[in-house]
Amino acid sequence: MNNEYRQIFDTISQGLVLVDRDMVVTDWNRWMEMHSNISASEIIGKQLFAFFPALEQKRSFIRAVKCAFSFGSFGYFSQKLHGYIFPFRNPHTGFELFPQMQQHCSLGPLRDVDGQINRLFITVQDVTEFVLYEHRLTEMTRIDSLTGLYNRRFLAQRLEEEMLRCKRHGHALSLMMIDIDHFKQINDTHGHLCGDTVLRHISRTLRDMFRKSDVVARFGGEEFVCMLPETSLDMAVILAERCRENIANSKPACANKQLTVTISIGVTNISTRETTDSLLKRADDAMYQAKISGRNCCVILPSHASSSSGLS
Amino acid sequence: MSDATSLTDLEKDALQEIMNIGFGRAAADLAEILGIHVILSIPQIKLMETSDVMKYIHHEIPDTNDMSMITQFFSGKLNGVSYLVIPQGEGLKLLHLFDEDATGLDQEYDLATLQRETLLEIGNIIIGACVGKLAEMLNDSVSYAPPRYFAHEMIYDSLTEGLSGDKSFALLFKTIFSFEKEDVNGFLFLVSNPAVMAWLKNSIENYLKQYE
Repeated sequence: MNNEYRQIFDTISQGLVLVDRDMVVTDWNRWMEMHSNISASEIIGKQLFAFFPALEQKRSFIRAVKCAFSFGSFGYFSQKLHGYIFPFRNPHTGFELFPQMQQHCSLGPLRDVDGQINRLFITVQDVTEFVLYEHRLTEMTRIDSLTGLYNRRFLAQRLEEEMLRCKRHGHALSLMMIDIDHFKQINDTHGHLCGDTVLRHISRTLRDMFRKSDVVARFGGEEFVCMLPETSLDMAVILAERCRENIANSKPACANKQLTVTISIGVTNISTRETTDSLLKRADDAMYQAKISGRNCCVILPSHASSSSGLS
Repeated sequence: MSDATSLTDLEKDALQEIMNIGFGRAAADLAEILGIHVILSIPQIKLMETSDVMKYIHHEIPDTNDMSMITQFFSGKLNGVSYLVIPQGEGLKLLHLFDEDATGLDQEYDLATLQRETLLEIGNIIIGACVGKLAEMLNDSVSYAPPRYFAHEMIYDSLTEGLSGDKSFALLFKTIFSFEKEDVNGFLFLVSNPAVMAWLKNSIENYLKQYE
């Protein structure tokens, strides 16, 4: 490489790697040395996969390499789809969120004077800071600030997506509508700060009881919705009953007082032909029936039947 | 010999054959090397005024409401732009091609984002294979700009932007592709410009020499 290009190669703030047809590294720039802790002298002349074995199992990476050699085409690895190609330590903040540096990578063919492709270049761009920013902004649009649960907007979006998936694959989906009993009284008697404490307490209790794939959202003032993908109505009912029990037995403390709080729950499941609105409406109807039935109970309204059964 | 704005019948036939073989090889290599089974219809070749390209695509795809499009510029002696148009939502069916390794799938991104990224990656591969093999048949090698994604009404906007302001003619190739296993299909248009004509005619002539 000519001296000027060499200087650019080594000072550019991007990873640059050259490999031959056997995936043996033929060049490795300073940026790569810095972030991989592997020096050029160590890796040049050796198989890339000997240092990064996971890459050999990565289908889209192998696919792009083959494409570059056989079609002369370029490959792009977006951070959104792949996160990263080279497992480097995240050199920024947000280490808990992204232990690895987030990367946009690309690769493409290098032709020799005869137009033959014998080598590939790989570029690595560090986009961790950008991704962290994006993550923070996304969180802000999804999370209810008081309770830390998902907000109604996010629930609506996820519910829409999940219902499409259910219809396509015929999966089960259950939904719970939860309302705190006599919340107004708590506010009036103990003050709004206590009300907030109760909201946070219930949110925390609920969140701890669900899987990561479930969506627990604050739906309104003292109303919550839990969306349970791939969960049968029977399972949802067991879970709802456990939620009700846990909340009733937990005594949130506020201003040196132990409060007793209960919730009413409506449980339903998805039917083949329905909208998010009709599903939410049925869960809401079930919850309303739980209120009428004396509160601190679960009412189930299955999708196919108009009759309901109660459980207290 | 013909002028630089048209192809003789013989040249057209030869180009058709080149396309058939090139796309056939592209499909074969996609299947053999990558395990991606794509059926490419016999490509249609059209020479038309650039301003008519829009009308033509409009006619082929009357409604872009439910469409997504991947655009990628390629340059070599053969240069131009490729448009891969696929019905919206179909990209989701291709997500599984990444199931094993795409980390984004279990992260926080919504389906629309994942679909876009999947289409970009698959579109890049299909365009690369088709254009690459065509160029190879014509003894050329091309390089590519990164693929870009458009959806809904942005499709016509981007087409208008890419095809207007030019009173000259365009060389258009159209093929319909479908993924054998995934029940996904769409259009692939390659639009080239008059600048390539002299070179193209020359390449076709060279190609025909093998039959002499």
